[in-house]
Amino acid sequence: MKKVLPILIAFLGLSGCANWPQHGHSGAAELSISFVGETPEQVRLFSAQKKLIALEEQGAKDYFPAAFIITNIQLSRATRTVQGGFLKSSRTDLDKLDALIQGLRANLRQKHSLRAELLP
Amino acid sequence: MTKFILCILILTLTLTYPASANEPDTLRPGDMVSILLPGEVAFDKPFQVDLHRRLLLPEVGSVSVAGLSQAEAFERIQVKLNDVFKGFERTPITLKERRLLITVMGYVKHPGLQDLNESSTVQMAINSAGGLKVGAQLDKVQIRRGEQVIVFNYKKYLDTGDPSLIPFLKSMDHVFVPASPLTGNVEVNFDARTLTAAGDASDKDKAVIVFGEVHRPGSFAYKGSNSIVDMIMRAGGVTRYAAVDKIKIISNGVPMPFNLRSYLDTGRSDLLPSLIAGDTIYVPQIVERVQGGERTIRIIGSVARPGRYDFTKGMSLLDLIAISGAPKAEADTAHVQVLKTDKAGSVNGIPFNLKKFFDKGGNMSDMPVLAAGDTVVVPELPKDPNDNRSQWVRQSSESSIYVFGGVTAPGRYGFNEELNFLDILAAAQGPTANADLRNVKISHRNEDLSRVSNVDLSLYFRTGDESMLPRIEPEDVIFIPQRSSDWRDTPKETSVRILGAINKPGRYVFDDTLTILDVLAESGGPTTEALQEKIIVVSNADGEQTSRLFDLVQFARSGDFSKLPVLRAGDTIYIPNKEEGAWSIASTAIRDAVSVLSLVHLASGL
Repeated sequence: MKKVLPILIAFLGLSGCANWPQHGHSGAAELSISFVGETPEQVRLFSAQKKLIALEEQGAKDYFPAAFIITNIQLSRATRTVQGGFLKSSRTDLDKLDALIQGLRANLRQKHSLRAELLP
Repeated sequence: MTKFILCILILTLTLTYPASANEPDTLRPGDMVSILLPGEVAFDKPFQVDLHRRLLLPEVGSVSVAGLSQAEAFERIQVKLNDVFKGFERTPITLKERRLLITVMGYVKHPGLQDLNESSTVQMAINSAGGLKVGAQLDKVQIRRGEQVIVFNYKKYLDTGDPSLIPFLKSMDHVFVPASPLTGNVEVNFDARTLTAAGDASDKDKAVIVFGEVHRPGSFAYKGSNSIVDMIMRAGGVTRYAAVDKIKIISNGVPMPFNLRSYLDTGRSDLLPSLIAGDTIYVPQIVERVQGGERTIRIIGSVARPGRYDFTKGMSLLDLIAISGAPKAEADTAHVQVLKTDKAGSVNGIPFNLKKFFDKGGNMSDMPVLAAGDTVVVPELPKDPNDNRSQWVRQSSESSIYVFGGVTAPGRYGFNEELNFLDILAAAQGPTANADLRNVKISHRNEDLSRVSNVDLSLYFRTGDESMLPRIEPEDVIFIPQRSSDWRDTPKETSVRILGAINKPGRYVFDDTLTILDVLAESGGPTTEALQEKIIVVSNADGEQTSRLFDLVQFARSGDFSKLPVLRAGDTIYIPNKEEGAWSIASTAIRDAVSVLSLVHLASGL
C-alpha cells in the first residue's frame, strides 16, 4: 500500500489540475475614466481624453456629431487595450485616436474661422 | 270689270271681318277667367285657358272654349257648373286678365313655355326663358305663328333699341333662337372669345375671309363701309412675318395685289382697293426671311415653343429661351447644348449649365455666344424615377449615377453637380427595410485609382451630420448591401466568433461600443451544460495572441464591470462544457485511480 500511495497522489496531481488562462479585465474600461497615468500609453490615453473633452467644449459635438461619436468609440477601444494590457494594440489604437482628434480639431478650427468671417 | 272687283272686295270683307272683329272677344290661351262661387274655396283663384283652349274646373272637369266668344264661353261654363253646383244658376263669370303663353326654344338657357303678361315683348320672353345661351345667332331669331315664320334681327334691336324691329307677340307664339354656325355640329364647351377670334360672320356670302400672316385669321362679317385695313385689323393685325407689301385680294375669283406698306407710308386712300362681300384677303409670309438659315436660329427640346426664330444681332441665349416660352418644368437645364456648324460642315456642341446660372447667377460673358444658323438643344429629364429604366437610353453615362442593392428603385439616374448623395438616394425611393445602412459602399470611378468609400448612413440618420456624407460625382456607383446577405460578406475584422456551449454559436458583428456581455446575450446565452466560470476569450489582434478567462457566475454575483475581459473584433469566445471543469476532471481521475489500485492489489495478491 505504501508503494501505491505515491503513485496515486502523482496520478491525481497530474490529471486533476487543468491549465486555465489568466482572468481578463478592462473589457469596459471606458466606464471608469482615470487621469493618472503610469505607463507611456496611459499618459497618451489620458492626454487624448482631455483633448476630446476640450474639443467638446468648443462645440465639436454640435458641429460634427458623427465624427465626435466615431472618435469617442476609438477612445473606448484605446482605453480598453491600454488598461487591458494589450501593449502593441494599444499603440495602434492610440495612433488612430490621435489622427481622429487631429481631424476633428482641424474641421472645428475651419468652422470657427468661417463663422468669424461671417460675423460683422 | 269694276263691278267684279267690287264684288270680290265686298265678299272678302264679309268673310274676314267677323273673325277679326271677334278676335278680341274670343277667349285665348293664357286668359284668366274668374268664377265667383261663394263658399267654394277651390274657385277663389282665377282659371287660365290652356294651350288647347280649355279650362280645367274643380269637380266639373275640362270645359273647351275653343272658338267661342266670351259670352258663349261663359254660357257654356255656366251650364257645366249648374250640372254640379246647385243653387248657382247665374254665377258671375268674368275675364279677369289677358296673358300670353309663349313657347321659347333654341339657344336660350331654359327653353319651354313662358307665361307672360299681355304687354310682354320678345326680349321679355327670352329673359323669362333664362336669357340667351352663349353661341346664339342674334340676327336671325324666329317667331313661328301657326304656319307663318317671322325672322327678325334681334341684334339690331339690341344695338338700336328700335321696338319696330321686333314683332309683337301673340299667345301661342313660338320664339326660336337659332345657334350660330360658328358653334359647329358637336356640342362642346363653348368659348365665345375663341370662336369670335376666328371671325364673326354667319353668312359667308356676306363675309370677307382674312387669312395668312394675321393674328386671328377667319371669316368676318362685311359692311359696305369697311376697308381692307378695317378687315385686317378685325383679324388681329398682321404678324411680324407678314409680307405687308405683297398682300393679295381675291375678288370674284380675280387676285389683285395690295401694298399695305405703301399705303401706310403715304396715307393715300386711292391705294386702298375696294372690297365687296365674299372677297378673300391673303397676307403672305416673308418667305426669304423665315426659311433662310442665314438669319434664323433654332431651339429644340423641352421648351414651351420650340422652333425657328429670327436671329437678331446681339441675341443672347436668354433672349432665345425667353422667345421660345421658357423651359418646361421637366427640362434638364443643367445640360443645355448650343450646336454650331463650322465652315467644314461639322457640328460642335457647346454645353452650358443654365440651371446653375439661374440658381446662382453668373457672368453673361460665360454664356455661349449665339449666331445665326445655331441650334440650341434643351434636353428633358426623366419624367419619373419609376420611369427611369425606359428613359435611361436618353441619358449619357457622363451625366448618370448608378444605384444598386437595397433601394426601392435601383437603376441609373440622371445626375449633375448640383445634386448630392441624398438626392440620389431619394430618387431611388430610399433604402429598403432590409438595407444594411451601416455599410453603404460608394465606388468612385472618376479617380485615377480605384477607391471605395464606406458610409454609415445609420449614424447619419442618428446625428444628421452632413459632413459624413460623401461627395459623389457622375458615373459613381452606390451600393447598399442587404442585411441578410451571405455571412462571408461580413469580414472577420468586424465580427467575433462564439463557440462551445452556447445556444446560438456563430459570427456576430462587433464594434467597440459593445462588450462580451452583449455578444453572449445576442448569441442566446450559455447552455445549461456550459462551464460559465471558465469562458475563454482568444485574442489575435495586431499579432498579439492571448487567452483570457471570464467568470460569468462571479460577474453576476459581484456586478463588477472591471472583470469583463477585453473583446475586440476578430476575437474568438469559447465556452467550455462542464465536463471540462476541474472537479469533473478530478472525479474522473479518482475513479480511474481506484480502478488502477484494484488492479495493482489483485496483481500483488497473485
